[in-house]
Amino acid sequence: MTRGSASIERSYEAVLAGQPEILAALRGVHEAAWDATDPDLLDLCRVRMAMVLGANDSARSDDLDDALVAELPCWPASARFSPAQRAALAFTEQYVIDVASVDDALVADLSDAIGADALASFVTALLVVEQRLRLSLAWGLLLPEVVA
Amino acid sequence: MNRSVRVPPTASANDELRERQGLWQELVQRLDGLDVVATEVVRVRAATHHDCRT
Repeated sequence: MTRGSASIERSYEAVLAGQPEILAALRGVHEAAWDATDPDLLDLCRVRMAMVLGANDSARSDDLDDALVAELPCWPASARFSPAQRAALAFTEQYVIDVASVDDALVADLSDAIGADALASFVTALLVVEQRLRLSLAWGLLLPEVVA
Repeated sequence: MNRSVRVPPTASANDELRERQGLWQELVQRLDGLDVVATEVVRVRAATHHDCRT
C-alpha cells in the first residue's frame, strides 16, 4: 500500500488527465516502490524529503509515530532514531540536496544497516518518491490553475 | 565525482520495481510535446550531473 499526500495524487490526475498511459505507469512504479521496501523506513525518509523540499502538504504521515515525525528536523541529535533510520535519513538528505555528492560512507552505512539488495530497492524507491514530490511542487508553480 | 563500486555486482533492486521504473521511463521518452533540442539539452544536463555515461 502506498503512502503520502492525497493532494499529490489529485495533482497527478489533473495534470496527466490527457496522458492515461503515463499516469498508470507512474502509479504502478509508485505502488511497486512501497511494496519493494520497508514502508516505515521509506515513509520516514519521504517525510524528511518533503521537509527539505518545502513540500509542506507531504511533510506528515498517517502511519508513523507523531513524536518521531516531530523530531525529524533534529534527528542527528535525537536518540529516538534507530541506526538504520539514521543511516537512511543521512543518505536521503544528501540524495535530495545533491545526489552527485553521495559518498562511500553514506552508502556503506546504509548497506550495513539494511543489506545490499534492500539498499538497491530503497534507492530506487527513494527516486520514485522524490520524483513524485518534485513533480507536484513544479506543477503547483507552473500549472496552478490545473492542480488547484 | 566518485565512481567507486559501492554495492556488490550481485545486488539488485526488486524485479517488479525495476520493471515498472523502466516502463514509465520508456513511455516518457516517447512523448513529443517538447521540441527535440530542448529535450536533448535537458537530458544531457541531467546525465552530466548524475555522471551517467549511457
